[in-house]
Amino acid sequence: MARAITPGRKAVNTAIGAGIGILIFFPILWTFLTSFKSEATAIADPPVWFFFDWTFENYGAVQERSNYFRHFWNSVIISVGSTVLGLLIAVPAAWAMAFVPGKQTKNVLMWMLSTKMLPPVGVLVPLYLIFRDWGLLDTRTGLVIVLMLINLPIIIWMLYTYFKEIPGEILEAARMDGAGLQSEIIYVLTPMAVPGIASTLLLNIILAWNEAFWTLNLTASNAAPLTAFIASYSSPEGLFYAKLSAASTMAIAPILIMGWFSQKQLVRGLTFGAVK
Amino acid sequence: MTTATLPQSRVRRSWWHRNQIAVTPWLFLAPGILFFAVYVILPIFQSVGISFTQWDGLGAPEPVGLANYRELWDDPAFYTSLRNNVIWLLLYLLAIPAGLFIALFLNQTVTGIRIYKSLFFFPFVISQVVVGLVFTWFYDPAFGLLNIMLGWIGLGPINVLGDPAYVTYGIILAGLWPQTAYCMILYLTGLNAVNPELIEAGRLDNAKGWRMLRHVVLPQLRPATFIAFVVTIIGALRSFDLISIMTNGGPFGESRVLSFYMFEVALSEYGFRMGYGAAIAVVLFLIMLCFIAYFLWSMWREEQGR
Repeated sequence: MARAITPGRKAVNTAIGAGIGILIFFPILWTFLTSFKSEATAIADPPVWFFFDWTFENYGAVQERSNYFRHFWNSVIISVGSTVLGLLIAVPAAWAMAFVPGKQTKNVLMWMLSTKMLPPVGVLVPLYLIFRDWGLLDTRTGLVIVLMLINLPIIIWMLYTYFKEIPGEILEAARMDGAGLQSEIIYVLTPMAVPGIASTLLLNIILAWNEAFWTLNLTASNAAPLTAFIASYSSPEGLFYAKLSAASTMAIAPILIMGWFSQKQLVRGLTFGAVK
Repeated sequence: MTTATLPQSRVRRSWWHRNQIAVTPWLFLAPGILFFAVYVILPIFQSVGISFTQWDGLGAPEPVGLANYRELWDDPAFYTSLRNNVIWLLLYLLAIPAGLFIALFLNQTVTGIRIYKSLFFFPFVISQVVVGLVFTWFYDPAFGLLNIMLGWIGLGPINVLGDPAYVTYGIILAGLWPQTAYCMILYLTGLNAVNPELIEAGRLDNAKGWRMLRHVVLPQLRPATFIAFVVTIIGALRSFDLISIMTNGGPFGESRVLSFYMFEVALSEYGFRMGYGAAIAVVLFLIMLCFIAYFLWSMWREEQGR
Protein backbone atom coordinates (compact mmCIF):
# COMPACT_ATOMS: atom_id res chain seq x y z
CA MET A 1 0.00 0.00 0.00
CA ALA A 2 1.87 2.99 -1.24
CA ARG A 3 1.11 5.81 1.08
CA ALA A 4 3.26 8.72 2.15
CA ILE A 5 4.62 7.90 5.58
CA THR A 6 6.72 10.25 7.63
CA PRO A 7 10.23 9.06 8.48
CA GLY A 8 9.36 9.19 12.16
CA ARG A 9 6.37 6.94 11.69
CA LYS A 10 8.47 4.59 9.63
CA ALA A 11 11.07 4.33 12.38
CA VAL A 12 8.36 3.51 14.92
CA ASN A 13 6.88 0.89 12.60
CA THR A 14 10.27 -0.66 12.08
CA ALA A 15 10.90 -0.76 15.81
CA ILE A 16 7.56 -2.44 16.54
CA GLY A 17 8.16 -4.82 13.66
CA ALA A 18 11.56 -5.74 15.06
CA GLY A 19 9.94 -6.25 18.46
CA ILE A 20 7.40 -8.69 17.05
CA GLY A 21 10.11 -10.43 15.06
CA ILE A 22 12.34 -10.92 18.07
CA LEU A 23 9.40 -12.05 20.20
CA ILE A 24 8.47 -14.72 17.69
CA PHE A 25 12.01 -15.85 17.12
CA PHE A 26 12.95 -15.66 20.78
CA PRO A 27 12.16 -19.25 21.88
CA ILE A 28 14.45 -20.63 19.20
CA LEU A 29 17.22 -18.20 20.04
CA TRP A 30 16.92 -18.90 23.75
CA THR A 31 17.10 -22.65 23.20
CA PHE A 32 20.16 -22.22 21.04
CA LEU A 33 21.94 -20.04 23.59
CA THR A 34 21.06 -22.28 26.51
CA SER A 35 22.50 -25.31 24.75
CA PHE A 36 25.95 -23.79 25.29
CA LYS A 37 25.48 -23.05 28.98
CA SER A 38 26.31 -25.19 31.95
CA GLU A 39 23.30 -26.58 33.80
CA ALA A 40 23.76 -24.06 36.59
CA THR A 41 23.91 -21.10 34.21
CA ALA A 42 20.87 -22.38 32.35
CA ILE A 43 18.61 -21.90 35.35
CA ALA A 44 20.26 -18.73 36.66
CA ASP A 45 17.94 -15.99 37.87
CA PRO A 46 18.20 -13.34 36.49
CA PRO A 47 18.74 -15.08 33.14
CA VAL A 48 22.17 -14.84 31.54
CA TRP A 49 22.16 -13.75 27.90
CA PHE A 50 25.40 -13.89 25.98
CA PHE A 51 28.16 -13.54 28.52
CA PHE A 52 28.80 -16.93 30.03
CA ASP A 53 31.38 -19.65 29.55
CA TRP A 54 30.34 -21.21 26.28
CA THR A 55 30.67 -24.96 26.49
CA PHE A 56 30.05 -27.89 24.22
CA GLU A 57 29.70 -30.41 27.02
CA ASN A 58 25.92 -30.69 26.60
CA TYR A 59 26.28 -31.87 23.04
CA GLY A 60 28.77 -34.51 24.15
CA ALA A 61 26.46 -35.65 26.90
CA VAL A 62 23.49 -35.92 24.55
CA GLN A 63 25.45 -37.89 21.99
CA GLU A 64 26.65 -40.24 24.72
CA ARG A 65 23.13 -40.83 26.01
CA SER A 66 21.55 -41.58 22.67
CA ASN A 67 23.10 -42.02 19.28
CA TYR A 68 22.13 -38.86 17.43
CA PHE A 69 23.29 -39.97 14.01
CA ARG A 70 21.24 -43.14 14.01
CA HIS A 71 18.10 -41.13 14.71
CA PHE A 72 19.13 -38.53 12.19
CA TRP A 73 19.56 -41.17 9.54
CA ASN A 74 16.18 -42.69 10.38
CA SER A 75 14.60 -39.26 10.00
CA VAL A 76 16.22 -38.76 6.60
CA ILE A 77 15.12 -42.13 5.26
CA ILE A 78 11.60 -41.84 6.61
CA SER A 79 10.92 -38.28 5.49
CA VAL A 80 12.52 -38.55 2.06
CA GLY A 81 11.20 -42.06 1.47
CA SER A 82 7.61 -41.22 2.35
CA THR A 83 7.67 -38.02 0.30
CA VAL A 84 9.06 -39.67 -2.82
CA LEU A 85 6.64 -42.56 -2.53
CA GLY A 86 3.81 -40.09 -2.01
CA LEU A 87 4.83 -38.10 -5.09
CA LEU A 88 4.86 -41.26 -7.21
CA ILE A 89 1.23 -41.82 -6.32
CA ALA A 90 0.15 -38.20 -6.21
CA VAL A 91 1.59 -36.93 -9.50
CA PRO A 92 -0.64 -39.14 -11.66
CA ALA A 93 -3.66 -38.49 -9.46
CA ALA A 94 -3.16 -34.72 -9.52
CA TRP A 95 -2.51 -34.88 -13.24
CA ALA A 96 -5.82 -36.62 -13.79
CA MET A 97 -7.71 -34.14 -11.64
CA ALA A 98 -6.11 -31.02 -13.11
CA PHE A 99 -6.22 -31.88 -16.80
CA VAL A 100 -9.15 -34.21 -17.12
CA PRO A 101 -11.56 -32.79 -14.56
CA GLY A 102 -14.88 -34.52 -14.21
CA LYS A 103 -18.00 -33.58 -12.34
CA GLN A 104 -16.75 -35.22 -9.19
CA THR A 105 -13.17 -33.90 -9.28
CA LYS A 106 -13.76 -31.10 -6.80
CA ASN A 107 -15.64 -33.43 -4.48
CA VAL A 108 -12.87 -36.01 -4.55
CA LEU A 109 -10.36 -33.28 -3.74
CA MET A 110 -12.45 -31.96 -0.88
CA TRP A 111 -12.97 -35.44 0.44
CA MET A 112 -9.25 -36.13 0.40
CA LEU A 113 -8.52 -32.89 2.21
CA SER A 114 -11.22 -33.56 4.78
CA THR A 115 -9.54 -36.83 5.76
CA LYS A 116 -6.65 -34.71 6.91
CA MET A 117 -8.97 -33.19 9.48
CA LEU A 118 -9.93 -36.48 11.05
CA PRO A 119 -7.94 -37.06 14.20
CA PRO A 120 -5.20 -39.60 13.51
CA VAL A 121 -5.93 -41.31 16.82
CA GLY A 122 -9.13 -42.58 15.28
CA VAL A 123 -7.20 -44.80 12.91
CA LEU A 124 -4.41 -45.58 15.34
CA VAL A 125 -5.96 -48.74 16.75
CA PRO A 126 -6.76 -50.41 13.42
CA LEU A 127 -3.43 -49.37 11.94
CA TYR A 128 -1.54 -50.46 15.01
CA LEU A 129 -3.16 -53.89 14.74
CA ILE A 130 -2.35 -54.19 11.03
CA PHE A 131 1.23 -53.20 11.73
CA ARG A 132 1.52 -55.72 14.52
CA ASP A 133 0.16 -58.52 12.36
CA TRP A 134 2.41 -57.66 9.44
CA GLY A 135 5.50 -57.18 11.58
CA LEU A 136 5.84 -53.52 10.59
CA LEU A 137 6.00 -52.09 14.10
CA ASP A 138 9.25 -50.24 14.75
CA THR A 139 10.43 -50.56 11.16
CA ARG A 140 11.37 -47.78 8.78
CA THR A 141 9.32 -49.38 6.02
CA GLY A 142 6.23 -49.13 8.16
CA LEU A 143 6.81 -45.48 8.95
CA VAL A 144 7.49 -44.63 5.32
CA ILE A 145 4.12 -46.11 4.41
CA VAL A 146 2.21 -44.40 7.21
CA LEU A 147 3.74 -40.98 6.68
CA MET A 148 3.15 -41.30 2.96
CA LEU A 149 -0.50 -42.01 3.68
CA ILE A 150 -1.04 -39.13 6.06
CA ASN A 151 0.65 -36.59 3.83
CA LEU A 152 -0.87 -37.84 0.59
CA PRO A 153 -3.88 -35.48 0.75
CA ILE A 154 -1.58 -32.50 1.15
CA ILE A 155 0.68 -33.66 -1.66
CA ILE A 156 -2.19 -34.24 -4.07
CA TRP A 157 -3.84 -30.96 -3.12
CA MET A 158 -0.66 -28.98 -3.66
CA LEU A 159 0.24 -30.64 -6.93
CA TYR A 160 -3.29 -30.11 -8.16
CA THR A 161 -3.00 -26.38 -7.47
CA TYR A 162 0.28 -26.18 -9.35
CA PHE A 163 -0.85 -28.31 -12.26
CA LYS A 164 -3.94 -26.21 -12.71
CA GLU A 165 -1.77 -23.22 -13.45
CA ILE A 166 -0.35 -24.96 -16.50
CA PRO A 167 -2.54 -23.88 -19.40
CA GLY A 168 -4.37 -26.78 -20.98
CA GLU A 169 -3.88 -25.27 -24.45
CA ILE A 170 -0.21 -26.19 -24.39
CA LEU A 171 -1.14 -29.80 -23.90
CA GLU A 172 -3.73 -29.50 -26.66
CA ALA A 173 -1.07 -28.11 -28.95
CA ALA A 174 1.28 -30.95 -28.16
CA ARG A 175 -1.49 -33.43 -28.83
CA MET A 176 -2.23 -31.73 -32.17
CA ASP A 177 1.40 -32.12 -33.09
CA GLY A 178 1.00 -35.84 -32.62
CA ALA A 179 2.46 -36.24 -29.16
CA GLY A 180 1.23 -39.37 -27.46
CA LEU A 181 0.28 -39.36 -23.84
CA GLN A 182 3.70 -40.51 -22.80
CA SER A 183 5.68 -37.88 -24.64
CA GLU A 184 3.15 -35.26 -23.62
CA ILE A 185 3.84 -36.02 -20.00
CA ILE A 186 7.60 -36.39 -20.34
CA TYR A 187 8.42 -33.55 -22.72
CA VAL A 188 5.74 -30.95 -22.08
CA LEU A 189 4.22 -31.36 -18.69
CA THR A 190 7.11 -32.41 -16.51
CA PRO A 191 9.43 -29.49 -17.33
CA MET A 192 6.65 -27.05 -16.54
CA ALA A 193 5.68 -28.79 -13.34
CA VAL A 194 9.16 -29.09 -11.86
CA PRO A 195 9.01 -25.96 -9.67
CA GLY A 196 5.68 -27.01 -8.21
CA ILE A 197 6.88 -30.54 -7.59
CA ALA A 198 10.03 -29.19 -5.93
CA SER A 199 8.02 -27.03 -3.53
CA THR A 200 5.76 -29.93 -2.72
CA LEU A 201 8.74 -32.20 -2.14
CA LEU A 202 10.42 -29.77 0.23
CA LEU A 203 7.34 -28.98 2.27
CA ASN A 204 6.44 -32.61 2.67
CA ILE A 205 9.92 -33.61 3.71
CA ILE A 206 9.57 -31.05 6.49
CA LEU A 207 6.08 -32.23 7.45
CA ALA A 208 7.27 -35.82 7.56
CA TRP A 209 10.41 -34.86 9.44
CA ASN A 210 8.33 -33.19 12.15
CA GLU A 211 5.61 -35.79 12.33
CA ALA A 212 5.47 -36.85 15.95
CA PHE A 213 2.27 -38.74 16.51
CA TRP A 214 2.94 -41.76 14.34
CA THR A 215 6.66 -41.90 14.88
CA LEU A 216 6.19 -41.89 18.65
CA ASN A 217 3.47 -44.49 18.65
CA LEU A 218 4.73 -46.93 16.06
CA THR A 219 8.40 -47.05 16.95
CA ALA A 220 10.35 -48.18 19.96
CA SER A 221 14.05 -47.91 19.22
CA ASN A 222 15.13 -49.37 15.88
CA ALA A 223 13.30 -47.03 13.57
CA ALA A 224 12.96 -44.09 15.96
CA PRO A 225 13.63 -40.78 14.18
CA LEU A 226 14.69 -37.47 15.72
CA THR A 227 11.21 -36.68 17.06
CA ALA A 228 11.46 -39.75 19.28
CA PHE A 229 15.01 -38.82 20.21
CA ILE A 230 13.90 -35.42 21.42
CA ALA A 231 10.73 -36.71 23.07
CA SER A 232 12.85 -38.99 25.23
CA TYR A 233 14.05 -35.84 26.95
CA SER A 234 10.58 -34.79 28.01
CA SER A 235 10.04 -36.12 31.52
CA PRO A 236 12.91 -38.03 33.09
CA GLU A 237 15.45 -35.37 32.23
CA GLY A 238 13.03 -32.58 32.93
CA LEU A 239 15.36 -30.44 34.92
CA PHE A 240 18.43 -30.66 32.70
CA TYR A 241 17.52 -27.71 30.57
CA ALA A 242 20.93 -27.19 29.01
CA LYS A 243 21.02 -30.78 27.75
CA LEU A 244 17.41 -30.52 26.66
CA SER A 245 18.34 -27.41 24.69
CA ALA A 246 21.32 -29.13 23.12
CA ALA A 247 19.15 -32.07 22.07
CA SER A 248 16.49 -29.71 20.71
CA THR A 249 19.04 -27.72 18.77
CA MET A 250 20.47 -30.90 17.27
CA ALA A 251 17.01 -32.10 16.33
CA ILE A 252 15.86 -28.92 14.62
CA ALA A 253 19.16 -27.76 13.12
CA PRO A 254 18.99 -29.87 9.94
CA ILE A 255 15.50 -28.69 9.13
CA LEU A 256 16.24 -25.05 9.94
CA ILE A 257 19.29 -25.09 7.69
CA MET A 258 17.40 -26.75 4.89
CA GLY A 259 14.52 -24.33 5.41
CA TRP A 260 16.80 -21.32 5.31
CA PHE A 261 18.22 -22.24 1.93
CA SER A 262 14.96 -23.19 0.30
CA GLN A 263 12.82 -20.46 1.79
CA LYS A 264 11.35 -19.26 -1.44
CA GLN A 265 10.16 -22.67 -2.56
CA LEU A 266 8.96 -23.40 0.94
CA VAL A 267 6.86 -20.29 1.26
CA ARG A 268 5.32 -21.23 -2.04
CA GLY A 269 4.67 -24.66 -0.60
CA LEU A 270 3.39 -23.38 2.74
CA THR A 271 0.82 -21.29 0.98
CA PHE A 272 -0.18 -24.32 -1.12
CA GLY A 273 0.54 -22.33 -4.26
CA ALA A 274 -2.92 -20.87 -3.85
CA VAL A 275 -1.63 -17.55 -2.62
CA LYS A 276 0.70 -15.62 -4.86
CA MET B 1 8.75 -24.42 -29.41
CA THR B 2 9.40 -27.72 -27.82
CA THR B 3 6.88 -29.41 -30.04
CA ALA B 4 9.31 -29.51 -32.96
CA THR B 5 11.52 -31.95 -31.12
CA LEU B 6 8.75 -34.28 -30.08
CA PRO B 7 9.32 -37.87 -31.13
CA GLN B 8 6.61 -38.90 -33.56
CA SER B 9 4.52 -41.63 -32.00
CA ARG B 10 3.34 -44.37 -34.30
CA VAL B 11 -0.36 -44.48 -34.90
CA ARG B 12 -1.82 -47.77 -33.91
CA ARG B 13 -5.54 -48.29 -33.96
CA SER B 14 -5.74 -50.39 -30.84
CA TRP B 15 -8.44 -49.99 -28.22
CA TRP B 16 -5.87 -48.67 -25.81
CA HIS B 17 -4.70 -46.04 -28.24
CA ARG B 18 -8.17 -44.83 -29.04
CA ASN B 19 -9.22 -44.64 -25.44
CA GLN B 20 -6.08 -43.83 -23.54
CA ILE B 21 -6.99 -40.18 -23.07
CA ALA B 22 -10.26 -41.19 -21.47
CA VAL B 23 -8.99 -44.13 -19.45
CA THR B 24 -5.67 -42.84 -18.19
CA PRO B 25 -7.13 -40.36 -15.68
CA TRP B 26 -8.88 -43.21 -13.94
CA LEU B 27 -5.78 -45.37 -13.94
CA PHE B 28 -3.86 -42.44 -12.54
CA LEU B 29 -6.40 -41.80 -9.81
CA ALA B 30 -6.72 -45.41 -8.78
CA PRO B 31 -3.66 -45.77 -6.50
CA GLY B 32 -4.48 -42.55 -4.68
CA ILE B 33 -8.08 -43.48 -4.09
CA LEU B 34 -7.15 -47.02 -3.14
CA PHE B 35 -4.75 -45.81 -0.47
CA PHE B 36 -7.37 -43.46 0.89
CA ALA B 37 -9.83 -46.26 1.12
CA VAL B 38 -7.37 -48.39 3.05
CA TYR B 39 -6.30 -45.59 5.35
CA VAL B 40 -9.60 -43.84 5.94
CA ILE B 41 -12.66 -45.86 5.09
CA LEU B 42 -11.50 -49.24 6.34
CA PRO B 43 -10.36 -48.05 9.79
CA ILE B 44 -13.60 -46.14 10.30
CA PHE B 45 -15.68 -49.25 9.69
CA GLN B 46 -13.31 -51.29 11.79
CA SER B 47 -13.63 -48.78 14.64
CA VAL B 48 -17.41 -48.92 14.46
CA GLY B 49 -17.25 -52.72 14.63
CA ILE B 50 -14.84 -52.78 17.57
CA SER B 51 -16.88 -50.20 19.46
CA PHE B 52 -19.65 -52.75 20.05
CA THR B 53 -17.26 -55.17 21.72
CA GLN B 54 -15.09 -55.55 24.73
CA TRP B 55 -11.58 -56.34 23.59
CA ASP B 56 -8.05 -56.16 24.94
CA GLY B 57 -6.53 -56.36 21.46
CA LEU B 58 -5.22 -59.88 21.96
CA GLY B 59 -7.97 -62.41 22.58
CA ALA B 60 -11.32 -62.70 20.86
CA PRO B 61 -13.52 -59.58 20.97
CA GLU B 62 -16.60 -60.12 23.08
CA PRO B 63 -19.76 -58.43 21.78
CA VAL B 64 -21.36 -56.17 24.36
CA GLY B 65 -23.84 -54.19 22.29
CA LEU B 66 -24.17 -50.57 23.26
CA ALA B 67 -22.52 -50.92 26.69
CA ASN B 68 -19.48 -48.85 25.67
CA TYR B 69 -21.64 -45.98 24.50
CA ARG B 70 -23.75 -46.13 27.64
CA GLU B 71 -20.61 -45.92 29.76
CA LEU B 72 -19.37 -43.00 27.69
CA TRP B 73 -22.62 -41.12 28.28
CA ASP B 74 -21.97 -41.11 32.04
CA ASP B 75 -18.21 -40.59 31.87
CA PRO B 76 -17.16 -37.17 33.26
CA ALA B 77 -13.71 -37.53 31.65
CA PHE B 78 -15.42 -37.68 28.29
CA TYR B 79 -17.11 -34.32 28.84
CA THR B 80 -13.91 -32.71 30.10
CA SER B 81 -12.15 -33.86 26.96
CA LEU B 82 -14.96 -32.70 24.74
CA ARG B 83 -14.94 -29.27 26.40
CA ASN B 84 -11.20 -28.99 25.84
CA ASN B 85 -11.63 -29.91 22.19
CA VAL B 86 -14.01 -27.00 21.76
CA ILE B 87 -11.65 -24.61 23.60
CA TRP B 88 -8.78 -25.73 21.37
CA LEU B 89 -10.72 -25.15 18.22
CA LEU B 90 -12.04 -21.72 19.22
CA LEU B 91 -8.77 -20.35 20.56
CA TYR B 92 -6.72 -21.81 17.75
CA LEU B 93 -8.76 -19.87 15.24
CA LEU B 94 -7.43 -16.70 16.89
CA ALA B 95 -4.19 -17.39 15.01
CA ILE B 96 -5.92 -16.22 11.83
CA PRO B 97 -6.86 -12.65 12.87
CA ALA B 98 -3.61 -12.36 14.86
CA GLY B 99 -1.60 -13.36 11.80
CA LEU B 100 -3.64 -11.05 9.60
CA PHE B 101 -3.07 -8.01 11.78
CA ILE B 102 0.64 -8.57 12.23
CA ALA B 103 0.92 -9.04 8.48
CA LEU B 104 -1.07 -5.87 7.77
CA PHE B 105 1.16 -4.00 10.15
CA LEU B 106 4.40 -5.31 8.69
CA ASN B 107 3.12 -4.70 5.20
CA GLN B 108 3.20 -0.97 5.87
CA THR B 109 6.63 0.26 4.96
CA VAL B 110 8.73 -1.53 7.52
CA THR B 111 12.42 -1.73 6.75
CA GLY B 112 13.89 -5.18 6.26
CA ILE B 113 10.66 -7.07 5.69
CA ARG B 114 12.51 -10.04 4.22
CA ILE B 115 14.40 -10.71 7.42
CA TYR B 116 11.16 -10.77 9.39
CA LYS B 117 9.65 -13.16 6.98
CA SER B 118 12.57 -15.51 7.53
CA LEU B 119 12.35 -15.21 11.30
CA PHE B 120 8.62 -15.88 11.35
CA PHE B 121 9.10 -18.77 9.11
CA PHE B 122 11.25 -20.72 11.56
CA PRO B 123 8.65 -21.58 14.21
CA PHE B 124 6.57 -23.33 11.61
CA VAL B 125 9.32 -25.65 10.37
CA ILE B 126 10.29 -26.98 13.78
CA SER B 127 8.72 -30.03 15.30
CA GLN B 128 5.77 -29.82 17.68
CA VAL B 129 7.79 -31.95 20.06
CA VAL B 130 10.43 -29.24 20.33
CA VAL B 131 7.75 -26.55 20.65
CA GLY B 132 6.21 -28.52 23.50
CA LEU B 133 9.50 -29.01 25.30
CA VAL B 134 10.56 -25.39 24.97
CA PHE B 135 7.23 -24.16 26.34
CA THR B 136 7.27 -26.69 29.18
CA TRP B 137 10.56 -25.20 30.16
CA PHE B 138 9.21 -21.66 29.74
CA TYR B 139 6.35 -22.50 32.14
CA ASP B 140 8.54 -24.31 34.70
CA PRO B 141 7.44 -22.95 38.11
CA ALA B 142 10.97 -22.83 39.50
CA PHE B 143 13.28 -22.06 36.58
CA GLY B 144 11.02 -21.04 33.71
CA LEU B 145 11.32 -17.61 32.13
CA LEU B 146 7.62 -16.95 32.63
CA ASN B 147 7.86 -17.07 36.38
CA ILE B 148 11.14 -15.20 36.45
CA MET B 149 9.38 -12.43 34.54
CA LEU B 150 6.33 -12.61 36.78
CA GLY B 151 8.72 -12.29 39.70
CA TRP B 152 10.01 -8.98 38.32
CA ILE B 153 6.58 -7.46 38.58
CA GLY B 154 6.01 -9.02 41.95
CA LEU B 155 3.64 -11.84 41.07
CA GLY B 156 3.94 -15.21 42.69
CA PRO B 157 4.95 -18.29 40.74
CA ILE B 158 2.20 -19.88 38.66
CA ASN B 159 2.53 -23.53 37.80
CA VAL B 160 0.76 -23.22 34.48
CA LEU B 161 0.99 -26.86 33.49
CA GLY B 162 0.19 -28.12 36.98
CA ASP B 163 -2.94 -26.08 37.50
CA PRO B 164 -6.18 -27.50 36.09
CA ALA B 165 -7.47 -23.97 35.49
CA TYR B 166 -4.59 -22.88 33.26
CA VAL B 167 -3.21 -26.03 31.75
CA THR B 168 -5.24 -26.18 28.53
CA TYR B 169 -4.68 -22.50 27.81
CA GLY B 170 -0.97 -22.91 28.44
CA ILE B 171 -0.71 -25.70 25.90
CA ILE B 172 -2.84 -23.82 23.37
CA LEU B 173 -0.55 -20.81 23.66
CA ALA B 174 2.40 -23.05 22.78
CA GLY B 175 0.52 -24.25 19.71
CA LEU B 176 -0.51 -20.74 18.72
CA TRP B 177 3.11 -19.67 18.47
CA PRO B 178 3.93 -21.52 15.22
CA GLN B 179 0.36 -21.26 13.98
CA THR B 180 0.25 -17.47 14.17
CA ALA B 181 3.61 -17.25 12.45
CA TYR B 182 2.26 -19.44 9.70
CA CYS B 183 -0.90 -17.40 9.18
CA MET B 184 1.22 -14.30 9.05
CA ILE B 185 3.45 -15.64 6.31
CA LEU B 186 0.34 -16.66 4.44
CA TYR B 187 -1.15 -13.16 4.65
CA LEU B 188 2.15 -11.42 3.92
CA THR B 189 2.38 -13.45 0.74
CA GLY B 190 -1.24 -12.74 -0.03
CA LEU B 191 -0.85 -9.01 0.55
CA ASN B 192 1.83 -8.89 -2.12
CA ALA B 193 -0.82 -9.69 -4.65
CA VAL B 194 -3.36 -7.13 -3.48
CA ASN B 195 -4.16 -4.89 -6.38
CA PRO B 196 -2.94 -1.32 -5.63
CA GLU B 197 -5.43 0.12 -8.10
CA LEU B 198 -8.33 -1.24 -6.08
CA ILE B 199 -6.85 0.26 -2.93
CA GLU B 200 -6.55 3.58 -4.73
CA ALA B 201 -10.12 3.34 -5.94
CA GLY B 202 -11.23 2.55 -2.41
CA ARG B 203 -9.40 5.58 -1.14
CA LEU B 204 -11.09 7.80 -3.71
CA ASP B 205 -14.39 6.46 -2.44
CA ASN B 206 -13.33 7.55 1.00
CA ALA B 207 -12.81 4.08 2.43
CA LYS B 208 -10.49 4.05 5.39
CA GLY B 209 -9.21 1.74 8.06
CA TRP B 210 -11.70 -0.94 8.92
CA ARG B 211 -13.97 -0.36 5.93
CA MET B 212 -11.04 -0.49 3.54
CA LEU B 213 -9.93 -3.74 5.14
CA ARG B 214 -13.37 -5.27 5.15
CA HIS B 215 -14.51 -4.35 1.65
CA VAL B 216 -11.35 -3.95 -0.39
CA VAL B 217 -8.46 -5.89 1.12
CA LEU B 218 -10.10 -8.95 2.68
CA PRO B 219 -12.00 -10.07 -0.42
CA GLN B 220 -8.70 -10.16 -2.27
CA LEU B 221 -7.16 -12.22 0.50
CA ARG B 222 -9.82 -14.88 0.30
CA PRO B 223 -7.54 -17.66 -1.03
CA ALA B 224 -5.15 -17.02 1.85
CA THR B 225 -8.01 -17.09 4.34
CA PHE B 226 -9.26 -20.38 2.99
CA ILE B 227 -5.85 -22.02 3.39
CA ALA B 228 -5.43 -20.41 6.82
CA PHE B 229 -8.73 -21.92 7.98
CA VAL B 230 -7.97 -25.37 6.64
CA VAL B 231 -4.48 -25.51 8.12
CA THR B 232 -5.50 -23.99 11.46
CA ILE B 233 -8.32 -26.45 11.95
CA ILE B 234 -6.04 -29.32 11.05
CA GLY B 235 -3.59 -27.88 13.57
CA ALA B 236 -6.20 -27.62 16.32
CA LEU B 237 -7.05 -31.26 15.86
CA ARG B 238 -3.44 -32.26 16.07
CA SER B 239 -3.33 -31.08 19.67
CA PHE B 240 -2.36 -34.61 20.63
CA ASP B 241 1.38 -34.12 20.10
CA LEU B 242 1.65 -31.06 22.32
CA ILE B 243 -0.51 -32.54 25.06
CA SER B 244 1.40 -35.78 25.24
CA ILE B 245 4.74 -33.94 25.36
CA MET B 246 3.75 -31.20 27.78
CA THR B 247 1.41 -32.76 30.33
CA ASN B 248 0.49 -36.26 29.24
CA GLY B 249 -3.12 -35.30 29.81
CA GLY B 250 -2.61 -34.17 33.40
CA PRO B 251 -3.11 -32.79 35.93
CA PHE B 252 -5.99 -35.10 36.83
CA GLY B 253 -6.83 -35.51 33.15
CA GLU B 254 -7.73 -31.84 32.88
CA SER B 255 -5.75 -31.19 29.70
CA ARG B 256 -7.05 -34.21 27.80
CA VAL B 257 -8.84 -33.83 24.51
CA LEU B 258 -10.96 -36.61 23.03
CA SER B 259 -8.19 -38.04 20.90
CA PHE B 260 -5.85 -38.12 23.85
CA TYR B 261 -8.44 -39.72 26.10
CA MET B 262 -9.05 -42.35 23.49
CA PHE B 263 -5.36 -43.07 23.29
CA GLU B 264 -5.15 -43.42 27.07
CA VAL B 265 -8.05 -45.82 27.20
CA ALA B 266 -7.08 -47.98 24.27
CA LEU B 267 -3.32 -48.03 23.97
CA SER B 268 -1.51 -46.72 26.98
CA GLU B 269 -0.50 -48.35 30.22
CA TYR B 270 -3.88 -47.42 31.70
CA GLY B 271 -5.37 -50.39 29.97
CA PHE B 272 -6.08 -51.86 26.60
CA ARG B 273 -9.79 -51.26 26.34
CA MET B 274 -9.99 -51.25 22.57
CA GLY B 275 -13.80 -51.36 22.52
CA TYR B 276 -14.24 -48.31 24.73
CA GLY B 277 -11.50 -46.48 22.83
CA ALA B 278 -13.19 -47.27 19.54
CA ALA B 279 -16.47 -45.92 20.90
CA ILE B 280 -14.74 -42.61 21.71
CA ALA B 281 -13.24 -42.61 18.22
CA VAL B 282 -16.65 -43.15 16.64
CA VAL B 283 -18.14 -40.24 18.58
CA LEU B 284 -15.18 -38.13 17.57
CA PHE B 285 -15.64 -39.11 13.94
CA LEU B 286 -19.30 -38.20 14.05
CA ILE B 287 -18.64 -34.78 15.56
CA MET B 288 -15.91 -34.12 13.03
CA LEU B 289 -18.04 -35.34 10.19
CA CYS B 290 -20.76 -32.76 10.92
CA PHE B 291 -18.19 -30.09 11.37
CA ILE B 292 -16.14 -30.89 8.29
CA ALA B 293 -19.24 -31.28 6.17
CA TYR B 294 -20.56 -27.91 7.24
CA PHE B 295 -17.22 -26.20 6.94
CA LEU B 296 -16.34 -27.56 3.53
CA TRP B 297 -19.83 -26.96 2.27
CA SER B 298 -19.85 -23.32 3.25
CA MET B 299 -16.34 -22.71 1.93
CA TRP B 300 -17.36 -24.42 -1.22
CA ARG B 301 -20.42 -22.25 -1.66
CA GLU B 302 -18.30 -19.19 -1.28
CA GLU B 303 -15.78 -20.36 -3.86
CA GLN B 304 -18.61 -21.08 -6.29
CA GLY B 305 -20.31 -17.77 -5.68
CA ARG B 306 -17.20 -15.85 -6.53
